[in-house]
Amino acid sequence: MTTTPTLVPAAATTAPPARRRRRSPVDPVQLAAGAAAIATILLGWWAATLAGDRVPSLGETVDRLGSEQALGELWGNLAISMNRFVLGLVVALVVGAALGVLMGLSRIADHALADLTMAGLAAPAVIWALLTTMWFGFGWLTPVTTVFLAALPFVMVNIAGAVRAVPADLVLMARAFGVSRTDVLRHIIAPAVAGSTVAAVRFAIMSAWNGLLLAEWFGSTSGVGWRSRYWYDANQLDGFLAWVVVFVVFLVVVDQLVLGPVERRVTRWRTA
Amino acid sequence: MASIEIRNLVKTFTDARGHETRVLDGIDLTLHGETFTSVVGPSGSGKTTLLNIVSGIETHTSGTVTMRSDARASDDAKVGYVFQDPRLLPWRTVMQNLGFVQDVRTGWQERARHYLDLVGLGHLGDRFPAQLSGGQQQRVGIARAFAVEPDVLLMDEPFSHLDAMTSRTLREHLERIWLESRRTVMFVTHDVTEAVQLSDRIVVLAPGGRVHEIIDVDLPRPRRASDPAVAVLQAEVLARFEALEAQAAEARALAAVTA
Repeated sequence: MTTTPTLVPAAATTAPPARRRRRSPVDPVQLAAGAAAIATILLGWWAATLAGDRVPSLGETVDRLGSEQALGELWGNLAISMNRFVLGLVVALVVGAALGVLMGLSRIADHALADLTMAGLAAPAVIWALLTTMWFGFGWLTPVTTVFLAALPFVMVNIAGAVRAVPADLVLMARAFGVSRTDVLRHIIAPAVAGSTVAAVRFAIMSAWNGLLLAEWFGSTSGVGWRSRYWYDANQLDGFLAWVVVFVVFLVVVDQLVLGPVERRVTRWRTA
Repeated sequence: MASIEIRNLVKTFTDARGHETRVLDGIDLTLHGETFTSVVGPSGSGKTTLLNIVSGIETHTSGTVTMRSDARASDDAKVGYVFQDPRLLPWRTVMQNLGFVQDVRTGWQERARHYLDLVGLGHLGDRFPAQLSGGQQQRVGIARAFAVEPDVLLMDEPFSHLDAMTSRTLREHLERIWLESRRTVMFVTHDVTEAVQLSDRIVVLAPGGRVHEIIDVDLPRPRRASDPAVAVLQAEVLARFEALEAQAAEARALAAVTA
C-alpha cells in the first residue's frame, strides 16, 4: 500500500482548522461614530438657532419639507434631479473609464490628456454650471452636461492610476500558465482596479452632485437646485435649508448605504 | 512524456543608446521526459531569461524552443511555473488561486485539494494569501504548478526567499512529490547544493549565456543533504562552480580595465 507524501511536518497537517470569525454586518464602532456625527450636526444647528433669528429651527425646516411634499414639489423635483444626475454620471463613468484605461496603458495618451484632466480637476463646479447655462440655456442638457463635466476628470484620474498599478508580475504569471486574456481581464485587471473604481465613483458623485445643483440653480426651471433657488429668491431660509437637508441626506445615504458596502466587498481581501 | 528542445538560442537586449548585450549565446539543450534538470550559473549568466523564454513570457532573438508532449499536439505542452515569489492573486482564496490557472472548468477541485494536501495546506483552501506566511504562500505556488498536471514544470529559484529550514524541508518534499508525478522539470537555481540534491542533470551556464558543462547526477533517490555521496558530489560541483565564478570575476575586471 502506498501512502500519500506530505510536504510539511505532521503537526501542521493535523492542526485543527482555524476558527473563522464571523463578522457582524454592522460595525458597532462605525455605528457609534455615525450617530455621534449626526448628534454633533444637530447640536450645532440648535446652537445656531439660539444665536439669532437667521437660522430656522429643525422643526420649522421639517415642517417646510412636509409642505413641499404636500404641494407635490419634493418627490417630483427630486426625481427630475435624479434623472439628470444618473444620466450625466453614467456617461461620465463610461467615457471616463475608457479614457482612463487609455491613459493608463499609453504614455502618449497620458501626456495628451494629463493637463486637460488637471485643469478639469482644478475647475470649480460653478464654472461648468455657468458655461453650460451659456451654451445650452434653460433645459435638461445644461444640468446633464454639467454633471458629466464635473465627474469626468475624477473618473479618468482614478481609473488611469488603477490601470498603471495593475501588478505586471501577476499578468506574467497568468501568461506562463496559458490563462486566456478574458480570464486575465476578469480575475486580475478587474479586481486590481475595483478599489480605485469605487473611489472614482465616490469622488465623481460628490463633484457631479455639486455641479447638478449649481446648473439647476442657474440654468433650469425644475429640480432640487432650482427649488433651492426659489426659496433663496423668496428669502425664506426654512425652505432653502429644507432643500439643503435633502441633498445632504441624499449624498450621505448613497455613500453609506451603497458605495460603502460595495467598497468593503471589493476590498475585503485586504482586511480578511 | 514530454521534452524540451532548445536549439542555437540567442537573446540580446538593446539599451536606450543602442548598445547590444548578448544574454544567451547559442544555447543547445535537450531536456528529456521524467528528468529533473537544474540550470545553475553565476549572476548574469542568463538562467532566468532562459526559463522565461522557454515558458513564453519572454521572446528570443533567434534559435528555436520546442516543447513536445506525447499526450498533446506538437508545441502544445502544458506548462506549470513556480516563481521566486509566490505570485498569488491577493483577492482570491487559496483554492480560487489554484482554480484560476486551470484550463478546464470542472473536475479540477479534487486535483487541487490533492496537491494542497500534499503541501500540507488542505485545511487552508478558503484563506486569502495575506492570511498565510511566506513559506505557506510558496507552498501554494508549488501546489498550483502541480495541480495543472503540467507536461513541463518550470521553477525559478522557488526557495531563494525562504529561510534555510523551510527551504530544506520543502526541497526534500519537492523531491518526493516529483517522484510521484515524474514531470519534466527545468529548475533554475544559484544554489549548487540544492541542484545536486534534486537533479538528474545539472546544466552549468557560463557568463555570457553559454553552456559551460553538463553534469549527470547518478545518485539514488530519495536524497538527503546529509547523505555522504550527495555531500561529496556537492563539494565537487561547488569547487567547479567557484572556479567558474572566479574566471567570470577576472573577465569582468579585465573588461573594466580595457573599457
